[in-house]
Amino acid sequence: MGLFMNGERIETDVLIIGSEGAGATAAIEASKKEGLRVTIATKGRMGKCGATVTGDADFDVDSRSLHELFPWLEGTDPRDSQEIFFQDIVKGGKYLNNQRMVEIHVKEAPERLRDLVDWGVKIEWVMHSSGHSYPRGVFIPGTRLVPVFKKKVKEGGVEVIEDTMITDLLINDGKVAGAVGLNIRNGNFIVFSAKAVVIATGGCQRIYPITTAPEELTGDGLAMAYRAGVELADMEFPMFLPGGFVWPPALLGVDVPFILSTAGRYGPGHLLNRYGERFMEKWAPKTMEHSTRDICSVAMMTEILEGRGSKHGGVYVSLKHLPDNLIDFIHEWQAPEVLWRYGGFDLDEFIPRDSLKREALEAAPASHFFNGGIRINERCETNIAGLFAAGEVTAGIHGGNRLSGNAFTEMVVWGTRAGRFAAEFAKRAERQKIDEAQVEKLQSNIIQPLDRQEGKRPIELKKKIQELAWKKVGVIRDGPTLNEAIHEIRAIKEKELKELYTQSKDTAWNREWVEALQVENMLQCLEIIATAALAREESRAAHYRKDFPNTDYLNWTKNIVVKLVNGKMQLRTEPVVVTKLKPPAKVVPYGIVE
Amino acid sequence: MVKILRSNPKKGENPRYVEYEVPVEEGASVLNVLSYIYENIDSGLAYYCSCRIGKCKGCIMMINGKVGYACTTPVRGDVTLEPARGFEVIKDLVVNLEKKVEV
Repeated sequence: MGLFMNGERIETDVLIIGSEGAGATAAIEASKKEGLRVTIATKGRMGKCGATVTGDADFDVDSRSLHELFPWLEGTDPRDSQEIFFQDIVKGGKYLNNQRMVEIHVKEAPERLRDLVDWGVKIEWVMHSSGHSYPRGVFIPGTRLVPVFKKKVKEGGVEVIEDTMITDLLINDGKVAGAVGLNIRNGNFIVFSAKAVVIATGGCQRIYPITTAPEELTGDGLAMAYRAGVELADMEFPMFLPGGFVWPPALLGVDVPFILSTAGRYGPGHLLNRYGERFMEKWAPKTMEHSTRDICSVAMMTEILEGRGSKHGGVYVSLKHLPDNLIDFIHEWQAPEVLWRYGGFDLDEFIPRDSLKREALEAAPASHFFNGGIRINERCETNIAGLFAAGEVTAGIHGGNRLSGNAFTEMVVWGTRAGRFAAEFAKRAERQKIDEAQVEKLQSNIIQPLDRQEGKRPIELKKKIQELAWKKVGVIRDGPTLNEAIHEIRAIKEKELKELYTQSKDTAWNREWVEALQVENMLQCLEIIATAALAREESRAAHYRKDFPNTDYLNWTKNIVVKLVNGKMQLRTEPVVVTKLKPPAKVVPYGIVE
Repeated sequence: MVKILRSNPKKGENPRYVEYEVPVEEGASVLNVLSYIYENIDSGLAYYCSCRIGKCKGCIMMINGKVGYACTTPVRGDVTLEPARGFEVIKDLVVNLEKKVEV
């Protein structure tokens, strides 16, 4: 009985899980250390997976440093400072950020941008996004970054193992020993022995059915860390953008281009519910569709959940109040270089631009970023010796909400730091012995869905999890609904998760097999998010509780830390790390800008 | 009708065209069609995709004989899908982009 997996064993010094922004910069930095073997394992293909390539995007550095470093750069403002940048990040994060880390972040951002420019990344101009006191977003599309990362990783002699999903960490006596996973290409079971491991796997946006994030972001790093006893923090703060297409199918989750966008980007579109009402009047009669992202998301989601949404599950975004020739002109003046395009889409192929004169688009809040994640210190260390983490998979920099452009800065500043500290650790650390019993158990976990002849299909369970996340642990939360969600999640864990099976039994490139492994991680992340969201009895930043609609700076300016202890989820709160900016001591209605 | 050139070299299976009846919605992409087949007809179908917005270029394949990306190509009428030409085929529509082969 039982299937047998062929095995592969790889010995390295620093294993980096994830190949894009944070993982690549960690590898580049670690490979500078003489005599260390550095290996990247990535679920996709380098430069062709992860969130970095999808970033549209800006790289935040305070405007004064930009002016000093690159005087020719268009759009900088020398009145800015690292101090003001620091304040904006902490205010934007609603004072839940780790201020010690934010200080390092603003200080090292200019040096890291200089690295990128030295490596050949072209920069031209700086944008001023909402939440920033000065223009700080150096325009660098992710598509420009990933080939540079790939080249530098190659130059550093880093071994890159693609199409390989790491499923679990190997821990020996509280110290990291390596990791195991599935080689998707050939179905082999792969065991890594490493002195230091860096997790750089991004967020878990895929638990939501509508998301701007790529396929891979199923919370693998978060879930494997949690299972290994690593502390997670601020998990109740997944962030949504208030405008992802829900129709047509090809555009599901695609960020509605800014000529129509709502929420702080001053697009001229009106948001309508199925009764044709401009529902923003109920929430923000003055700012209407130009309210902040969180308010727009909450308003849209209320219409959707209360049955006033659009045909395909969103709300309507309409330009019909404008004369035809103005709509034509908007295409020209808003974005002459972009026109009616997004990413690689020629949108005319799916929504002819002339149709905007007659018809509304359909959009909904789209899961965009994970503010919380693995709890690290300034050296990117976790509570397990030898285990480091960097980038979106971590908590600390953004607190409850991230500023536009700060994801790229985070991945490079903290990826580089993680690489440096992991390399230093690996240089002096002893290799931990691999616990073969642990390896065997993890291998049998991986093989189960392939071995089982009947049960629940991963795709069905994935859809069930996504619906649950969307309706009960999404933009709008309340106590009873979160409780329901947690019960449902635990019931799924007890039954359906244990029944996952693949129809195809092929070991090579079995999409359903990979999905079965991902579903377990998604469900684990959802349970953590729901539990943390239930504990936080207030509304703040990306966390909105209908039953606790105020931001309670007096009682809730603290981080919720989640950890697996003896097989049980344990929650505790920790005081926020404050260095310079004292949190307010008051209770204010949600959404009030300080 | 959707026609896909499928193969599984690891198992020594030679390339063959397989036809699928897929209800194509208006505004669907080639990737939507692949998802439909994977979810409803044959979960063994192998293809690579990541960003779904035409940026990562991972879903490169031959679409009606021309190189294209599954996520950004609309489906109108019959469509034939083959693995990207000039690369070693891993399975079905998945190729090894690091390994070029003579066509």
